[in-house]
Amino acid sequence: MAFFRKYKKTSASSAQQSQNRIKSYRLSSGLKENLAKIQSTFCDTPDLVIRKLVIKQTGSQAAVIYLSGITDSKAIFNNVLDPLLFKNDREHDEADFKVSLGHIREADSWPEIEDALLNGETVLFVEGLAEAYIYDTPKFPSRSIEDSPVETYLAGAHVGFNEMASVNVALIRHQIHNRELKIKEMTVGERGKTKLSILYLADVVNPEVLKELENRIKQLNVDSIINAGVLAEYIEDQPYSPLPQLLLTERPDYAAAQILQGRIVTVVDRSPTVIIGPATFDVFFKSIDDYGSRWMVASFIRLLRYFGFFIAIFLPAIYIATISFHFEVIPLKLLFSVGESRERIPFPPYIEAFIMEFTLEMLREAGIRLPAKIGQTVGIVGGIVIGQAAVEAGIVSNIMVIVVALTAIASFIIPSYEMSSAIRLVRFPMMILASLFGFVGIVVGFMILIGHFISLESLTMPYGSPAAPLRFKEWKDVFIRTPQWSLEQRPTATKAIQKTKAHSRPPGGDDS
Amino acid sequence: MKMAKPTLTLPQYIFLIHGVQMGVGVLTLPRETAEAAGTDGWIGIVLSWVLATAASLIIIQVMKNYPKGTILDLLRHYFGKWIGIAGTILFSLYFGIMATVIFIREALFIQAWILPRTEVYILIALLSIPSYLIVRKNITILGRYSVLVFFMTVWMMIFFIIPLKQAQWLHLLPLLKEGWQPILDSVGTALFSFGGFEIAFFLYPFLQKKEKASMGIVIANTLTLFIYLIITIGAFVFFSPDEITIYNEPSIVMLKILEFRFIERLEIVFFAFYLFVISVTVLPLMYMTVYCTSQLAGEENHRRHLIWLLIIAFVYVVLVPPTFDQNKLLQRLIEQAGMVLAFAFPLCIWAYLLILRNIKRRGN
Amino acid sequence: MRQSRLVQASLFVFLAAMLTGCGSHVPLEDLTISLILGVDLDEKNNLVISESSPVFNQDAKQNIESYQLKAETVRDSRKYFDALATGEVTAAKIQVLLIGKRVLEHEDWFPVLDTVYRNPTFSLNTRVVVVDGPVSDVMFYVPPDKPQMPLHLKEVIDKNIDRTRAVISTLQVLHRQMYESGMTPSLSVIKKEKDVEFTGVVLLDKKGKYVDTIDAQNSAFLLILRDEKKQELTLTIPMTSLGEGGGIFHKNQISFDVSRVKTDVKTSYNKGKFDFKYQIAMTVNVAERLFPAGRVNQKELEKMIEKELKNRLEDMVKKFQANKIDPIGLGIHARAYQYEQYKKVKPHWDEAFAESNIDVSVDVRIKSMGAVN
Repeated sequence: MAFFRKYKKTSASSAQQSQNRIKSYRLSSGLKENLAKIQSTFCDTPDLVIRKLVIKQTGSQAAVIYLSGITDSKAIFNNVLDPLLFKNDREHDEADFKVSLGHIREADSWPEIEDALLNGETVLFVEGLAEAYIYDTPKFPSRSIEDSPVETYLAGAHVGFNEMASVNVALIRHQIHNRELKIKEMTVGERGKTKLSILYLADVVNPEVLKELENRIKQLNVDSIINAGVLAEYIEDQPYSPLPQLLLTERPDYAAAQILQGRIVTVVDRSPTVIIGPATFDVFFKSIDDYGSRWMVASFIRLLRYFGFFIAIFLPAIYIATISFHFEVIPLKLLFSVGESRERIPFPPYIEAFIMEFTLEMLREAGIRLPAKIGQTVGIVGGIVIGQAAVEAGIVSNIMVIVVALTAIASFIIPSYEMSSAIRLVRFPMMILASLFGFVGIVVGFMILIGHFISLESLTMPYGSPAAPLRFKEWKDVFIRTPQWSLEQRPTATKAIQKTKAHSRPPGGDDS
Repeated sequence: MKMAKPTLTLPQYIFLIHGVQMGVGVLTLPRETAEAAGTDGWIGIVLSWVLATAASLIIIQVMKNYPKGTILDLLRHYFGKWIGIAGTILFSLYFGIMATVIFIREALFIQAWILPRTEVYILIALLSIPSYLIVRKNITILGRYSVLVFFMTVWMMIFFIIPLKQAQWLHLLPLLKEGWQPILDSVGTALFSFGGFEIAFFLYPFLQKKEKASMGIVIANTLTLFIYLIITIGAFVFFSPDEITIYNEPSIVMLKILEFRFIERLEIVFFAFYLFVISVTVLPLMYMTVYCTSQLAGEENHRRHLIWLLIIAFVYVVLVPPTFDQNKLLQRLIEQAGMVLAFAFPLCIWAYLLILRNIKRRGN
Repeated sequence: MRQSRLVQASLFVFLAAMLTGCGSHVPLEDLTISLILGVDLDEKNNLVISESSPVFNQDAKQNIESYQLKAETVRDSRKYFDALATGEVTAAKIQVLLIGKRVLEHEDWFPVLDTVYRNPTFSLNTRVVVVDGPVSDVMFYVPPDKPQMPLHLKEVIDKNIDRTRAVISTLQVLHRQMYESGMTPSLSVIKKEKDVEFTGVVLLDKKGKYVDTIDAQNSAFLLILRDEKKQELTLTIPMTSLGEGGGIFHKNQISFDVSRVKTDVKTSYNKGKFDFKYQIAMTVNVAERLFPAGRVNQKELEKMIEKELKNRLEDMVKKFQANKIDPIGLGIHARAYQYEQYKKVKPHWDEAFAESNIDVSVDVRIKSMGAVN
């Protein structure tokens, strides 16, 4: 690790040096030289547009340059070219090249110009001026705001993030109208120059946690952040863990809810997913639906999810362990049916289990990769045909098919995709341990899991809270969810500086 | 990565101590006390609790004299470097042997009850993996582990309540069958089961709220007492007083009769889960061992020592295949040493410190 | 830090490699799971062990295989069974342990079962049942109209326990009763006539030797004395004080459900004898009454039932005392309340029991007469 860090530092400083060198390249005051320079920098760039013109106001030679495709051409025609070409307003003596746009700035170095062009801005060079005007005209191709296809909920807003950071930030702002909602912008990536916006409530979030997150992002030196998952993997605490330590979501209402709990949301430009931290184990089992539906229903579903968690990890292992080691724990009547269905199977239980579990994982992956309509066919072929045929051919037992199906369903009811994938992965070592040592193996595996779980941290905050360290008071919103008005405190695991939320007692009080 | 000084909350402190006290003793406790005092044995357990609590409180009193450090620092501070080193060696030997004995006993039990076809050394190797992963961290993590495991395993006590529908409560009568003498004899054996609170010597400096140290250790002892009482009395009313001494581990035999519609032979499941209970005994002991040895070697990190400890345990098992008798003998020996460390030693130091303070006051 | 990860990784690989080399276990389908174990003596008093286990194979004509053979001990028999059966024979799921009555006619047969208690594989919930006749009759009997024998036997015994007719006699309980000095063992008994049927309870003496058999109704009385009523307890008794019922139908019969029974024993020691006073309080619902309503009112009926029960219970206790057996466990009461005296007679409690005064008083309350008057 230390070795890595050293490497990061040296490369960061060399990048700075080269930047300084470029900075010395100032613009020249001759339009021709500038245009030549632009053309040499952006050679093989067919979408570069250079429009030479004479400014009516001053009569000077000038050129408007932009990259078509990522700029708003209407704005350029109407608000830049039109006033420059035709307007002749003599009210002011000084030539200030009036255009009707909100955001205008000036730049005098080549790197700035380059950045501006690549960001979809329009650059105006004027003969005799050693600086250029930059007009804010970007319009990247983007999709409209839709419900997220990955995270589907019953309750909550049917709005998902899209690929524009500005839109995503706006969507969160829409949920939290508060001046304490602060946004810190950072840029990451040598080539990609990904804009990150860190959103938090200034009077709630713990400044140390925020600083830790910023530090980790600052230390990054990568080509580009393609999506939020890449960034999450770079900044999480323990990359060797199977468990996800940062939340990823595509839903602004969920992100806003987490900000209100004292967490920090990092919006990654060009990615429809945002990163939320610090996370604890239990947040991966919560969904926005839990708060939208009535608390008894929500509590029941929560319990179901935790139950599903254990089933998904341990059921195949328990099957292997009981069949190969501890058949005596099976009640007699069940033993008869298990025995009858196992009798024809030529493989030991662990091979049988591995065959089926791998088949299931392949089916699942195939379902994702295929278009939705064919995906369903795969499900049917896999589920019914293979399952049925395998049993009839005597390759796997009926019980095994039930076990596999149960595990699959159990792992799918966990709202976080990252967590449910992690669980499916953990299942395999458990199966190996169970096939070697039976129940003892499972317990040892469980012990390893717990040992890992209690020492894990997310942005230096304990991951296991409120189970380890134990905080019984916060169990109101872990395995069950008590009514809204009883949830007055923000979780300790975020170390929020303002612990108590705005809250009220239920209407009517005791006598209702 | 910041290296904050590890601390313990009150529950972590309580359950660490309680966890070390539980362990393998509880399986044989009903037989051992019944051998000495018949069905009055449980009174002996209550008496041992009184003694253990008194000794625990003395330990806290001793530690109050030097709240910043462990007993090793205290010894060095009051008695000089050499006695400090001697104390460190003694403690590390004590904890090391204790940890190894129980660790091996755990493997022996598994082999005897669930996996008769697996070699003991393979089980030791298997159990080493989680042990290493947890003990290599700091005391806070161990504290969290103890707390979590306690709440994960405390429901297993229900298993001891269910067989009581076959219970014959008349077995407990009359009280004081043979007078007090056999009960006092049973205190001798029952006291061993309370051993383990001496790790308070090492936990005290890490505790966040030092003023609650006494209360915490009393709670830990009482919790242990309750669990012992439930199991012992449960076994006494379940078995006939004439047969209980025949079973080696009556606590497990009691569970053998449990069966539900969906699961039978619960003792197997129970035993597998019981590994958790034993682990909260063994892991803190291992931690204490490597804590002492790394202090001795002047190293910050105890990982290397831990690896060595586990390797030594493994090699020992390969070279000298353990048997129950040999293991029990070792346990008896180390428990007697433990009695000295847990009862006599704190008393002596406490007396010494009191005298020292009096002399100083008079000098002033 | 990097180096230590390398060490860790290699350590794990080493461990994993070592651990994988040790998977020596037998999966379920390769086992022959004994469900009944039989212990008997043949005519020449040789130990005969038999077992019966299910066959999962669909090609097999019968779904159960049974073997019987001579062996020195129970454990020793396993090697012969292994020679006969398809899979490895395992004892972990034995449901019923059948003991031939011939075995019980000899003293000190109990050590034969030593392995059952010593070996953790055995279940202690196995029902111990005495067979009145050769064990092989039951073992090799394949009823055409019933589930497999082991299941059937276990259900029959369990049902009778629930109905308070059979004593609980698992291996664990037998062990307790064999070692308990204040009680003598009792076991359920079955018989193979046309079918295998539950017939009652056998009573053994301190050394395990057979003494007496009582039928199902009397075992219910035994259980009342032991205060071990289970889910349901129904008694059918004739009201002898109403005179002989006429005709072929015994018209003086009455049946009642005992909904609650509380048995108290007062223990005292007088003039060198133990004194036990039973006070049995019952709440009953009449379930069947063959004589007309007008003949007795409710109070009288209660008195009559009390008298009948008292007679039967006292007769039974007298019989126990005559046989010098204490299946009720009065020795436990003596130990709890008269420890000093009990200690003196402990080694020969059966003698002291035979001499002690036991009297029974019954208090019956009729809660309901049922749906018709």
